[in-house]
Amino acid sequence: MAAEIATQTGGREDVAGGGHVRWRGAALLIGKLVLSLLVISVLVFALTAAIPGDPARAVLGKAATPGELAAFRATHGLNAPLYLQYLHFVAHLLEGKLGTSFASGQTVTSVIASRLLRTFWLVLFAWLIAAVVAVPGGIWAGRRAGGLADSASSAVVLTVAALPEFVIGLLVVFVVAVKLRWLPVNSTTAGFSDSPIGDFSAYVLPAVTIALTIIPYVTRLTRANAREVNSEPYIRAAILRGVPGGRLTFLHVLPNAAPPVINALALQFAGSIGGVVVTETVFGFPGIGQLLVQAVGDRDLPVVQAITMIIGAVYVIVNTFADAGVRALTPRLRPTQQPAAS
Amino acid sequence: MKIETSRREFLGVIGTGIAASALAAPLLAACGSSGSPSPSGTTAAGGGKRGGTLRFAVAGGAATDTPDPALAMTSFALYMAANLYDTLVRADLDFNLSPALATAWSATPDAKTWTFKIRNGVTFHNGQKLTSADVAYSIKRILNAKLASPALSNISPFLKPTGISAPDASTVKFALSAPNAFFPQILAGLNFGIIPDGTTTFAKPAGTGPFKLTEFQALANAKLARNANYWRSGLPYLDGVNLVTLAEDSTRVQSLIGGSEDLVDNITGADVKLISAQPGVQTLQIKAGGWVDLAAWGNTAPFNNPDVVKAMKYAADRTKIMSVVAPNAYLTGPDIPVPPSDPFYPAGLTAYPYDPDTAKGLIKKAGYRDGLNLTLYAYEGDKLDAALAYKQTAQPAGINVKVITWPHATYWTQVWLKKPFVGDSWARLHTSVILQEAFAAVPNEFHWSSSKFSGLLSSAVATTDESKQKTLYGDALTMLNDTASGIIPGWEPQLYGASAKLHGVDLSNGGQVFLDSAYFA
Repeated sequence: MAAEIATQTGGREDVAGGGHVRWRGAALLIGKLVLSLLVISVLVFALTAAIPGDPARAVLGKAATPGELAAFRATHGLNAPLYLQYLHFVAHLLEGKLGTSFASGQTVTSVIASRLLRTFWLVLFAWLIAAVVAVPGGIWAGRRAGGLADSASSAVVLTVAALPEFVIGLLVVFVVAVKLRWLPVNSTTAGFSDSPIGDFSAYVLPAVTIALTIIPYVTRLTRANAREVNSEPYIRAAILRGVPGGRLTFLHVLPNAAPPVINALALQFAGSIGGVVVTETVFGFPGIGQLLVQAVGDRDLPVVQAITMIIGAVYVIVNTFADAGVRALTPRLRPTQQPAAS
Repeated sequence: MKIETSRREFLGVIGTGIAASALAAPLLAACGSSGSPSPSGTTAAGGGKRGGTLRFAVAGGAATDTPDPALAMTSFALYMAANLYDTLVRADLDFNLSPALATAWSATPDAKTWTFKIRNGVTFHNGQKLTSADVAYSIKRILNAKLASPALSNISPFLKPTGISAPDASTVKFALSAPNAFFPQILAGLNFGIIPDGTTTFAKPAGTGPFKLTEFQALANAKLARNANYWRSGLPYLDGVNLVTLAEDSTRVQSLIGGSEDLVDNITGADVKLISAQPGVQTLQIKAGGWVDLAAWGNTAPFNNPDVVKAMKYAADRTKIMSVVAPNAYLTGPDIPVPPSDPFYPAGLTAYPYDPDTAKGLIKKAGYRDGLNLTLYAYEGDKLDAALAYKQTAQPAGINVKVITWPHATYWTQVWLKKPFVGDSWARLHTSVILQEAFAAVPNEFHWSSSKFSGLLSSAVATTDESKQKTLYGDALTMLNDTASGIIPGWEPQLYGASAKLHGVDLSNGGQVFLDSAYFA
């Protein structure tokens, strides 16, 4: 929803721009991006500061002496007022420094680098599976709207949509891994290499699980759009002209139904970066989601802040690009197609 | 140090505690000095099949995990330490000792000077030969407070670095500042794994254990490869061990059933039923893994009235409480932190029976005509299970328990040692250690202090006479059961799931999962 509204306002700004439309549009886009990231940084910092429990106590343990606790707080700047701690945090972020993990004493970058890569691959696979299944599926159902096949597929899709990630994950594990034994039950072996080439089988089940959370929404959106486009006069005209079914779908229905779907896919990609927390935990997948859960428990604030910042940044950036992509694809939103306002 | 346990954290905790150990200290125990002694536990060397890589999924791990044995706290780190390093001696489930890097050990009768003979012909993973200097270094290192080893408090009360010496290449001497008849049992803890003299980094750790570390990432995985030069000849049988972190309980169990793992830890009593119904898998267990307790302050009203304390004990239906805490796999017992299998368990000691009528009479006698109202704090898990079950069984006795579920995050800072009636659970520790930590430390969760009791404890660690130790601890434990202001309804097991093909896994307290004699049949 938010993305669609953003798209529309983006379009209007371009209309007002005249000759420098493109540059002004880009500047506005970047401005919005920076503002969003700033807001995210405030939220991330405030929320991590609000987690109950003392990081010094969490790291040093119950047996720590008051002296040791004080030394820890001093070393990690935890005695400074919150606003100063926040300014340090942002200043370091701008330098590209993510700080040092309280728990392990290593730099946050080294702690999360290989995990981030694995999570990225996982989400990318999930997203590709979702796109390959949901878009053709939605168009197929949309062209048969109201028929028996459409109703049946809608029922299946709605059922899947109603299930939370961990239930889907456990069901997938039970059927494919425990009963059929086609794939390993857990994804822990993914940790023995940084890329999926090392152990692709470890990525399949969590990717399918995440894909199953994306597919229902995208399928239904594609179906609705395809159905709408199908009833447009130009499609009827094409049918009357005798355009064959495949050609009709790819050249006439798909391009016109695509823009909202692209936006939805982008939104889902960004959303599933956050959603990996649950899936990675269920499968024991050694990515940033699993690390985040542990880091919150450990009050390892630098790691929590870095991971939530990254998830937030991916969300904002992907959405911004999706908006730009939709604008490029939609004729009526292209600035050059608009009558100049000035 | 407080040792906290829940099903999830269980093993980790044992490690933070003292993986102490001891049967009455085997005085002048010169055992297994000839060639290849059999490892402790149920499986003897020989008879196993070579080959195969064991896949082991572990519930507990942390970002702080390291291959440094002195710093091992979580179950993941302890399992690594158990198989990469050796300690001087090994302790079985009831703290009986067998030789490891020490072939013999002895104490002076006052239990103040200990001498260990170090095994000849042992090499570290880096090829270096083991000598007494390595042993002295490894123990001295733990005494350095800057290292912050969880084992520091186990030995610092009675050992100073200057008390450690290596008179010759195969002898290490410990001159204690206070007697301790159970020093070898303490040294059996995994934190006392022996490393080469001068080791400061653990990027490429060298131990003497059955496996070498080839890959490690905290909170993810570790790869262990067979040490062909292991001093127990012919062992290990396995080519390697792959350890992985898998926190999700149901995935861990399903991974075992689905054949993706060969060994999983930290399963529940409910899983025992599930696993026993499946072909090709089995459960392994440490029966007395740890104890749960409801601890009250004995010096504070109403718990300073002996009749109230007795009534509370009579009002506990131990079987009912434990069947909630650890279904399918529990032990009940008297209100002492020592299980019936322990050599120091006083013969004939029995728990207060469940008798709500007697309890009701005692409550009336104590002056609570309309019943006794108590507030009990606990957090989610075994402690809360025990608290809620106790609330039910105490109701008919006129004891109304209000249970408050407190968040785990602030339990140890805001409830424990701050509120007069709390739920807790502890790992199985050696009698000498647990009595000191839970009942003699100041403060302790029972607010229990008795000069007679403390006297019994200090006499017991100061004699190497086994029968004297038994009498002294017997008196101390009987005292606890009769008068201490706490209810210890029973023991929870430590449960593992394993492939039915897996044999020879040697389990002991304190995360001691030894895989040197493990093999696939």
